[in-house]
Amino acid sequence: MIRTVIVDDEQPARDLLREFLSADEDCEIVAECANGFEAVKAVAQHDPDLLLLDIQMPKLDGFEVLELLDRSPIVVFVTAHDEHALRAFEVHALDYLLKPLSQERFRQVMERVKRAAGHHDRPPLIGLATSLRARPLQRVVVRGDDGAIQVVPVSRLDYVEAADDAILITTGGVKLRKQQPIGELAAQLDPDRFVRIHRAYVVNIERIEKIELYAKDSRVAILRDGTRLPVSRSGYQRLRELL
Amino acid sequence: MAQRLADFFRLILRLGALERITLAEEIDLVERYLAIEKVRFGDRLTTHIRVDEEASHCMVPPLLLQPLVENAVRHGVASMVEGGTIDIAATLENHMLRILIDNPADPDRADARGEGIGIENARGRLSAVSEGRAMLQAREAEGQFRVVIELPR
Repeated sequence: MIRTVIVDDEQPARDLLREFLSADEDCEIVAECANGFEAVKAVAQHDPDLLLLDIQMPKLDGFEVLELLDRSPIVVFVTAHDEHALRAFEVHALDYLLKPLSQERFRQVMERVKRAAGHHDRPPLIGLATSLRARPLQRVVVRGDDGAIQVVPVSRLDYVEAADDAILITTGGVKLRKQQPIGELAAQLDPDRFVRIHRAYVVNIERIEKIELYAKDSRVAILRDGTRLPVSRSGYQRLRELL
Repeated sequence: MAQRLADFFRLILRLGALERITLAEEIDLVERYLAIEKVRFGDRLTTHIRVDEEASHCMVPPLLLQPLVENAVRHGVASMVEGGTIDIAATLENHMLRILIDNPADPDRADARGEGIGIENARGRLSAVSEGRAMLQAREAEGQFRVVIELPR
């Protein structure tokens, strides 16, 4: 039995997917979600085999949902935009369905899903984080230990520091922990607004008050709120190129 | 649904060919558009339209409001998890037609592009029909997006 979660912010789209799925006796719908927050919760709760995932949704889009999942169901994108559909493979989604949905195409995709469900060596899903992005990151999504999801627009991001294999994202004095290498996040942020000033630090340049010489060849960035961050020699060079 | 779409497109073709239409006709077009979007959005989209009797007879360029209302749906209500209300109000005071379009919008929405174009187009058309005496303002504050149009009667 393929235990399935449907995620779409539009009721008619959910209705149609449910209708298609109910014609397939190998499938069972375990949850229907109207937004990304519900989707993350439903996947944690039901550990489904299959996630039918809309991309364009308010607050948390489908790519961001993938980034927050702690399980790896088979994912099929459901989208009206073919440029999103093509990115499905970048994040190791199995396939995609383009809206308007055709039942014939749905059947074909479900055949693939059933074949894939028999294998357990699927590549792990990767979210927005590691997928190639056409434009700089607009917001960072973080899932706390309690499961609560935070969406931080990059304009509110003060600085990011590496902490072992994770990062601490500082926003308005609050630190959020996220499991991600700092280099990966740094590569996605707008290079005109965020600079890697040190191996372990990326800073929002709007937050910098001044740079002070600390010792020979060693500098410190003082932020508007008084925070002091180390600046490496190459970090200083990157800053100078920008400012 | 298909019938509604067909009626809507036919109306756009007919009204779009005219130089000026009444505000009542434009509002009819907007309501037909919103009825189609309500099928998609269900409970997430509510609308509230108030047009004063005198205002409804004023002449406006065709398709002045519809693209702005489309912005309010696509970039506004669609960006909200719980959805929201699009408020449209038209009054006539001292020979000045004043139209407000209000809608909630997520200030952190990822894709805020494309909104400016619709507003610029509307502004250009207004200016063309009023010899520069009309005004269109768009502003966004505290999660609420508002367009104000003032057009001399």
